[in-house]
This record gives sequence, C-alpha cells and structure tokens, in this order.
Amino acid sequence: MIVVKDLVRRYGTHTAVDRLSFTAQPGEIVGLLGPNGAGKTTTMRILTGFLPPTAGSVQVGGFDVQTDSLEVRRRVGYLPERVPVYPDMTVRGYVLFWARLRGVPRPAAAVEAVLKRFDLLDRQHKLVRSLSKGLRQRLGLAQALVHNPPVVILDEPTIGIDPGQVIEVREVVKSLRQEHTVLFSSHILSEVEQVCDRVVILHRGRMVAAGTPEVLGRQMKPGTHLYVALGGKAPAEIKKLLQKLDGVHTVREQGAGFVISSHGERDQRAAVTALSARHGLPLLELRPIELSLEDIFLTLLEKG
Amino acid sequence: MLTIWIIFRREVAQYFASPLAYLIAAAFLLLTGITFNNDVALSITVKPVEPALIPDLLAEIMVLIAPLLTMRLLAEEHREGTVELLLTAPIADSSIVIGKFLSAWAYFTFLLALTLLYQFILVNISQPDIAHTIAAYLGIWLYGGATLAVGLLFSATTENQILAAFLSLITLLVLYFGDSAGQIVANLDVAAILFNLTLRGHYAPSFSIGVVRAEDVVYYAGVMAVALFIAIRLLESKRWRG
Amino acid sequence: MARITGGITLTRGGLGQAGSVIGGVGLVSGLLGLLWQGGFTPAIGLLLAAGAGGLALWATLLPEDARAFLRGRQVRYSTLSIFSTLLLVGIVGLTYILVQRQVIVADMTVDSRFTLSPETMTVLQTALRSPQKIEITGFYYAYQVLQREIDDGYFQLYESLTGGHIYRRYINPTEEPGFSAAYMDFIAQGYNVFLSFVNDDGTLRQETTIPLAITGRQEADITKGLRQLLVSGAFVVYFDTGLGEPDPLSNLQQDLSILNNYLRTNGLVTQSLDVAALAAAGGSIPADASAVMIVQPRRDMTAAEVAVLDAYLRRGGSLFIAADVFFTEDLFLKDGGPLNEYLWQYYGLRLRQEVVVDPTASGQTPLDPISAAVFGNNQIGQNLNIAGQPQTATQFRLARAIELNENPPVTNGSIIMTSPEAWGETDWQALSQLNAFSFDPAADRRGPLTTAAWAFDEATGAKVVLVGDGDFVTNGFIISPQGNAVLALDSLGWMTGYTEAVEFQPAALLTTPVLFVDSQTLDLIGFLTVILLPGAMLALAAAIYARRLRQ
Repeated sequence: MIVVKDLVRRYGTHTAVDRLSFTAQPGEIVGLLGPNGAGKTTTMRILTGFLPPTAGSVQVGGFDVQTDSLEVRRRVGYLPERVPVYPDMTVRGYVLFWARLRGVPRPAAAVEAVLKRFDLLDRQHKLVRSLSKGLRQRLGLAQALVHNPPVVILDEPTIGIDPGQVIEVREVVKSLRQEHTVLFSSHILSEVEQVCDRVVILHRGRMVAAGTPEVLGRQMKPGTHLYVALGGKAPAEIKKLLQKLDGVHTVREQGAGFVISSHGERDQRAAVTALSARHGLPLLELRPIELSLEDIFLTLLEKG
Repeated sequence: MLTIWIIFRREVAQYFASPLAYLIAAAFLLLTGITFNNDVALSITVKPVEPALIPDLLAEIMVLIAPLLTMRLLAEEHREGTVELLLTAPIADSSIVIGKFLSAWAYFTFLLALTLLYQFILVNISQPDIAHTIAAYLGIWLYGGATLAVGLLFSATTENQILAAFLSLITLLVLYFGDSAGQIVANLDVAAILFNLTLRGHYAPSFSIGVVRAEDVVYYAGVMAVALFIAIRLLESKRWRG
Repeated sequence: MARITGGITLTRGGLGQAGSVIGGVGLVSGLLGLLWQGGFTPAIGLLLAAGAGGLALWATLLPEDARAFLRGRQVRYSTLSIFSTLLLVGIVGLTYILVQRQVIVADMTVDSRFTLSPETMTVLQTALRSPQKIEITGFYYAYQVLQREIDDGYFQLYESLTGGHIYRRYINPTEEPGFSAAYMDFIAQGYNVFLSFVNDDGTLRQETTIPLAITGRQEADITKGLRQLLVSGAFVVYFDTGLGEPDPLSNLQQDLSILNNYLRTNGLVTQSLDVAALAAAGGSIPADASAVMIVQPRRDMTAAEVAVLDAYLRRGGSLFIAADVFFTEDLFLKDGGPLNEYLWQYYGLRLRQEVVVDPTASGQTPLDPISAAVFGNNQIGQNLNIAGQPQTATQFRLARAIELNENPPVTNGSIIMTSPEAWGETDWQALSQLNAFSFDPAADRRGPLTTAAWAFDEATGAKVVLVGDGDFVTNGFIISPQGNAVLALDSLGWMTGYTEAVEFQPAALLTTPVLFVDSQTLDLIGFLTVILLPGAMLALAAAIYARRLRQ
C-alpha cells in the first residue's frame, strides 16, 4: 500500500529525510518512531502529498505522490500533529466540509457514522472552539476517517492529551487495522510497541532500525542493558574488559561508568560481578537501565 | 468546479456566522445611509439625486473595507494549520484561492445589494437615472472585486491577519492614490500611465459618470486574475517551504 | 518567492532572483510601453535596458538556473513562479491595450450624454470631406489627468468615428512651453482645447485654430467648434478704412483689434477694404465679402461711394454700420447726405442728427444710453438684456437716434431702444460747446428712440444693421458690458449666415427631475436607512456573539 524508496527531502542545505525506504501493507499498522526532528513529520507530509520529495519515489496505493498527487490524496486520511480546526464551525459542519471536499458520495450519512464512531454525535451542533483538547483529537480522527481512506496517516495523535484519552486513541488506532493501512508516528517506545505491527525507527532523517516490535523490543528489554561503574583501572582498559564479556555487543561510556548492551536473554549481571572479582576491580555501581529512546538510538547507531 | 463551490459555501457561511462581518456591515450601512440621507436632503428642490452616490463613496472607502473582509481568508488557514489539510485534500490549489475569493466577493455583493434599498426608496420618491446607477454599481462591483483579490493575495503571504490587512491596505492605498501622481509628476504621459494603472482611474472617468468601457472591465478582471494567480503561487509555495 | 514576513538576508541566490524579477518586469513593461506608445521613447528604452540588465544579473549569479530555464527544464520554483506571473501580467496588459483600442463603450445615462447625436454625426460627415485632417489639441497639466480622461472619452469617439481624420493630441504646457506659448492667453481664460486643420507635413494651420472651453457638455463644445472650423475661411468680413475709420489691427483703446480677434477666433476671415479707392477706380467690393463693416467713419460718403455699396447690396451683400457723433461739418450720415438718403429709400432706415439723452437708462451720464428695450424679433437681440444678467445689456457713448420708415420698402425693425423718458437732442452747438442739453419740445423727439436697427431685403438677400454709436465696438468698450460684444458678433453672425452654420443645439439634456420630498417621508427614510438597517446588523452581530458565549 505504501512503498517508500530512497526518499530524500532537503530544506535548503538541511537534510530532513535521508535515503529512507520502507513499505506498509494493507491491514498493517506501521509506527514511525523517533525523537523530535527525526524526520517523522516530513515523511508523513510527503506521503500525504503536502510536500514534494527532493529525490526518491513514494507510492501510495500504486500511485506516485508526485505524478498522481490527487489520486494519492484521495486515498489518504491525515491527522497532523496539531489538530487543525475551524473554531467557528460546528462539529458536524466541520466534518461535513471535509467529507464533501474529499468527494464522499453520501456525505451526510458518512458524517453521521463517523461522529457516532467517535462518540461526538451529542455534540455535533457545538462550535469546535468549545471542544476540549481530547475531543478535538477525536474530531481530528473523525475528519481523517470520514472518507474511509485505505491509508490513514496519524502524526503523533497521542501528544498533549490526558492519559485516559491516550488509551482511547490507541484503541481507536488499533481498531483501524482491519480496514486500513495505518502509519502512526510517536516518540514513545511503549506506545509503538503496543499499537504497531511493525516499527520504523528514524534518527536524524535516517532509518536506524526496522522490524516487528518484538524483535526491536528484545534488544531493549530490561536487563540487557546495564549500567556498570568499576574502579581501579583506566576507563579504556575497563572498556576493553567489558567488551570481552560473552554476548556483549556494545559498550558506551556514560558519566563515570559504562552502559553495556548484550544479545539474547542472558543477564550479564553475574558476569560483571565475576569480572570484578577476577580482576580485583571494585564494583562501584551495577544496575539494569531502562533506556531512553535517545539511548536506544545511540545504541542502534553504534551497532549499525 | 465542485470543489470551488464547496470552499465557497464554507467561506460564505463563515462570513455570515461571524460577528465581525456583521459589525463591518453595520458600519458600512451607517456610512452609506448617512451619505444617502445627506444627498437627499441637499437635493430637495435643488437638483436631481446623484445617480452614482453610493458607488462613488465606496470607491473611496473600499481601500479600507477590502483588507478587513479578506485578511482572515488565508492567514487564518495558515495560523490554524488547516492549510495542511486543505493542501492534502484531493483538490487543486487554485480551487482554494478561487473559492475563497468568490466568497469574499459574494459577501461584498451582499453589502452592495443592501444599499439597493436606497435606490428602491428613490424610485418611489423621484425618477432617478436608473441606467446610470446600474453602470456605477457594475463599476464598483468590479472595483470591489479587484480590491478583494489584492486583499486575498496579502492574506496568503502571512499567518498574521493584522499584518495581512496592513500590507493590503498599503498596496491598495498606492493603487488608489496613484492618480494623484499627476500632482507630483510633471510629465502628462507618465501621469496618464500611472492614472491608468490605478483602481480609480478605471472608475472615475467611466462607470461613475454612467459609461461602461470594455477596457475598464478588462482592467479589473486583469487585476483580479493577476492577484489571484499570485495568491495561488504563494499558497503553493507553502508546499516548498514546508 | 521570498517569505515576506521573514528577515532580509542578501544572498547570491536572492540577488540573482531579484535580477530575474527586475529583468522580467523591465522587459514586460518595456514591451507593453512600446505597444502602447506605438513607438520608441527614452522611457521605454530605459525599461528595456533595466530588463536586459536584470536578466544579465540573473544569468551571472544563477547561471545553472538560467541555463535550465533556457532549456525548458525544471528551474528553481520561485523563478518559474515569477516568470509565469510576468507572463500573465503581459497577457493581461496586451488584452487591455487591444481592447482599449477597440473603443467599446456603452453609454448608460438616461440622456445618452456620452453618445454622439445625429447632428454631430452629420458634422463628422462634413469633416470627412475636408481634404485636411483636423487635430484636437488638448492642453492639460499633469494634475488635470482625470479631466483629460473624461474629455478623452469624447475625443476618442470623434477620432474613431472619423477613422483618425479627426485625431487628438495632448500637450502639457509645462513640458512644451515653446509650443504652448501661443496658446497661453486662451489657456489662462479656460480655453484649453483647440481645433485646427493640419497641413500635409503635420504642422497646424494656426490661422484656422478654434479655441474651445470644455464645459460639462463636451459634445456640444466640440461639435460647435468643429462647425466653426469647417466654416472657417468661408466667411470674410471686410473692414472699410477709406473714411478714416479706426484700425482693426491696432490694439489701442479707440481701435478695433479685440473685435477683429473675436471674429478670427470664431473662424471668420477679416480683411481691409477702401470703398473710396474702389469708387475712384471704378472697382467693386470683392465677391467673397460676407459683410462689410463701416465703423466710426470721419466723413460722409459720396454718391459714387454709395453706388459701390449699392452694387454690393444688390448682390445680396451685408452692411454693418456703426456711426457716431462727431461735431464736424461733413458728418457721416448727415441729414440729406447720399448714404442716409439711400438707406431711407431702399431700407427704410436713416440716422438722424440727434444725440440720445436718456435720463433713466444710462451709464455715468444721460449721454451713455443703456439698452432699455430689446427686440427679439431678429436673432441679434436674443442674447441681449437676458433677465438676471445685467452684463448682457449694451451701453453706448454719445449715440445717435435712428428713424424707421412707417411703411418700409423692405422688412426692418428696431433692435435696441431707449427708455420713454429719453429724447433726441438736436442742439449740437450747446452740447459740444457747453456740454449742455435739455428737452426742447419744439425740436427734440421724445423717446423711446431706436439706437440700433436692422433691415432685410428678401428680394436680393441684402442685410443692413445700423447702430447709432461707433464706440461700442472699439477696444475700450467692447468688453464691458458684455452686451456690446454680443451685439456686434450676433449682428455679424446674422448677416453672414455664420450663426446658422455654426450653431449647434445638443439634444436637450433629459436631466432627471429635481427631487421633491416632504419632511415626513424624509424622516422615514432617515429612520430606515440610518437606524433600522445598521441597527439590524448590529443586533445580528450581538446575537451571534451571545450564541458563541453560550456554547
């Protein structure tokens, strides 16, 4: 459904997306994961036909975003990061407007259905300006889905709303799986893990990893990353010793100690303690760490 | 066409749902009403009523009204971010600009139509030169369209409505006062060219005195076409600038 | 396109882009200017040069962009936008110029004020038959550009309807002071448009130039001027100089240059003539003479000289006489003199040796009679003594009375008469030596006395106008009061047939009637338009605002 190949997008001299390739199949929820400025929004804007790519090809439903922009736009439902609203329209009028503009055959019925689905029917005659943030988010989703598009692109739909609503939105996104190809961006690892079938991790415009959340998640499981602080020797020597441990693939300096990452399910804590005893190095600190997204990227980057 | 109609309908509804638009209408009607009453009072037993009275007044104040009516149109889309949805809807960029322009023009037409009440009163109390009045109304309708197109152009440049209004006011003032260049420029040909470039230069010597000249219609249509074309290009540039 | 709200940074790209804008704008406006002017002017050269310079700057600073453009490849987005916009501006400008040349105009006014009337169309047909083109020379200062545009609407009609046989040209007096100098006197008086025949080499035939004052009725003004121009040369007025009359070319107070100029600016040709010399040589008055003027002669005419006039009148000629009071032996038109007898016999008019004294209708002294009564039975009197316009009366200085035959051989009549209180003073000795005058019932005739009269011989077409005063046409008196000039010009207009040839009555302006409204209706209108309608809008605004607050 979505085929992105060698996508490049530059703003002047700054490269926002750099040779990005990935695909998404029908019935799949693909997560774009990355910190702010990773190129998630730019990628999505290119997919929706809002921005043209600098190089590379992007196809949605078999249509190229540059040559068949209108066809692509017809097949995409889009919720930008900041829900765009017309404050002085009614809820119904707002959704009806987008339904008409996107050529929905029976707009009134479609609007009715989508408002019902997002539980907005009782507020349909209210002005948009009176809606709370969470309701606006639902309105944004209603707008993106009113024309029942094969592809739904949601740019950080859970940002800035309260936890209860976050769960609600996640459920909605999951429910889209049957009928739509969904591209979903977030900078929260756990959210992507929960919602997505596949994840593409972006950092500074580049794809640093891709795969199912299980595969990616395994690398990030608690216990596979340890913070180790050893005394008695120069850091460089300690780093060498740590790297020799069985199963450890990366060792990064952090603060006064190191973060070691290892393959597989093995807990390296025993190995580290043994190392400390064997070389007579005082063990100053040893704790498993929950890696921040930034750490993961750094880890992935060093690995790749 | 259909998409232009959909945009147009939303924008027109927007005008009629906005208190500001009615405030503008109230001020507009107060001004035209006072002018009309003055002319009637001055005319009694002295002269026939002035056939181009209201259009002549509007030729003066359209420069102020047009920015107010158009500043919101695209600037608000930029500010609210809805422009992103518009530009990702399956419609041509030109439909957005044209639909919005037509809505502003329609609202202006509505205001103009309200002033026809004065003509209706005049028909009942005297025998005004109706055809002359129609010519003047046609002229100010086109004149107004041109000023609105310029206003829309500047609304496309920025997300700040006030700035948009200010920029279009400045531009319209230049287009309006351009004919005063004759007071500064000593060269008659240059003054004539400047005069013919201005909005008033195609109203005062023709429509206002009851004459419809094809060249003036072409001028106003041309101003609208160029301003809208630039507005479309500006909107499009949003895609390139991101 | 550069972001207008952003800061300005000068980059190579930005500068190159500016170059492309300047280049494009320069080229487009230069080409349009070329089309508009139909020729090359320095300003257009400047624009084209700026265009070329801008494009050169663009090509230098953004060579790859320019190359791509020339090869029709994708160029910098903004460059493409700029050029496509300029292309559109060019197309619009071109359309405008083409349409403007077509002069497509719909006149919507109730009285078709801006459409040329059938009368004008007839005049245009006549104009087309003239071998020489006619130039409408308009003098407008730059600040009069609006007036020029309005007038131009008319001039354009004349030009297009005659296919350029009548054409317009505009002069700014500040720009072409040399050319304008000859016209400045007229321009200062409000005559800023001139009609002239044009020589084959394009120069104006200045002797034919007719000055026009453009009022609110452009068509009437221009068409009347055109008629004047078209008849110019057709009417020749001869001033007799053989009897010691004042000089028509001299601008001294007692001479006649103002009258002469009036006639010339109206398209009449003026010449001098010496009836005495003609009589001596056995000659006759030239065949082209539309009228002969004898103003303030110093001696009476001989029978031989009268015979010359008689021959001329029998051919259908016109004679204008403005005789005066001179305390001399050989008084012009003295009692029993040959000319006086001749006029009495054939035209039923004679000038008497009476000085008009009018105690009621006169100027500084009773010897300066003002037209007390004017007769409108001839077109000469129609523009005199207009009600409410005292300056349209005539005023004479030492006038003689005219006697009209009760049973005239031809139709004749008075033009101007004194008041009933006036009398004709016959005691010239007391008057000249003591400056004394008094009514003598035995000798003096009682008023009202005729001071100006006309006669028309239907059999021959001969016309005579006799005025008992000669001062009124001289430079010192012809301007004030205005009636003096009107009397002279309308007399000549009638005699020569000029007035009939030139007079243009525009279709009556069907101005919409004056407004009558009673105060009650007025109050209702005021309430409706100033209070109810804006108030309704305010109420709507408030209602919507309130609804918003509730939500």
